[in-house]
Amino acid sequence: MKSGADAPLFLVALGILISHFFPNFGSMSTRKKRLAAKGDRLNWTPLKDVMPVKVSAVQIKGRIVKISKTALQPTLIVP
Amino acid sequence: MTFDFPGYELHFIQRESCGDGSEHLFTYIYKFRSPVTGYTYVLRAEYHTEDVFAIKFYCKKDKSSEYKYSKIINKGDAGNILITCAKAIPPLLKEFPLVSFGFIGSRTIDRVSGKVESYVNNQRFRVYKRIVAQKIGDITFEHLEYPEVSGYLLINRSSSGNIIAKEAAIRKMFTSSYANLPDL
Repeated sequence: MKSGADAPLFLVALGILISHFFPNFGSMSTRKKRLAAKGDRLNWTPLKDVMPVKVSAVQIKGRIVKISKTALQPTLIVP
Repeated sequence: MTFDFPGYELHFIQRESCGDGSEHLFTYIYKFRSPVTGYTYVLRAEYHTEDVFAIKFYCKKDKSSEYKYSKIINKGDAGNILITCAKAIPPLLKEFPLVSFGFIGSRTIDRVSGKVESYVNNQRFRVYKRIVAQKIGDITFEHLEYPEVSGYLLINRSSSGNIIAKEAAIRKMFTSSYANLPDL
């Protein structure tokens, strides 16, 4: 059985032992690493910087979409 | 990826007149509920001159939000929700046999970063055009896409002998009515 004088020495030894086997023990926490938000990752525009976009009929060019017959499913909503 | 979702039952609510003198004449309002997300969604089919409906939808809980078309719900069930929206086309086509349809993919707002995606070829547009190309055939409609503004048109082949002229007229009408078409 340890005496009262040996107790601090025992705690120091225990600390050394723990830090030897678990080097990150002191800095361990339950906080999850926060992922970057989608807007940051994809370099989107901050809401305050969004400017009105003037679009004239001339600028927009329509492109005909070719519907491949294999892509169409038997359960078409409209033929 | 295939979109073999059954969708939900669409309930017609009312016909709302629009008397602001614009090209937008009236709106058919529908609603449906997703048991997966637990939310009710509102679908607006806005009839414009040139015999064309603009299809819009939003989650009812966001009805008062300025950004109701741009918010992400992120509770799943997108397939069923989008197919339900597409199911509005046949009854409208029955009532207006010569009508065309159009939609725009709204720009998504990321609430975490407070940022907004581009209006060019955005993520909603990429999903919508894929569904439409799979579920709407090309016998009734000519399909046209506008990635510059994330827009899509279904031009009714019976509406005009000249599809090109009809498309130009609809495009002109939309761009003059909605000067800031790809805005939030």
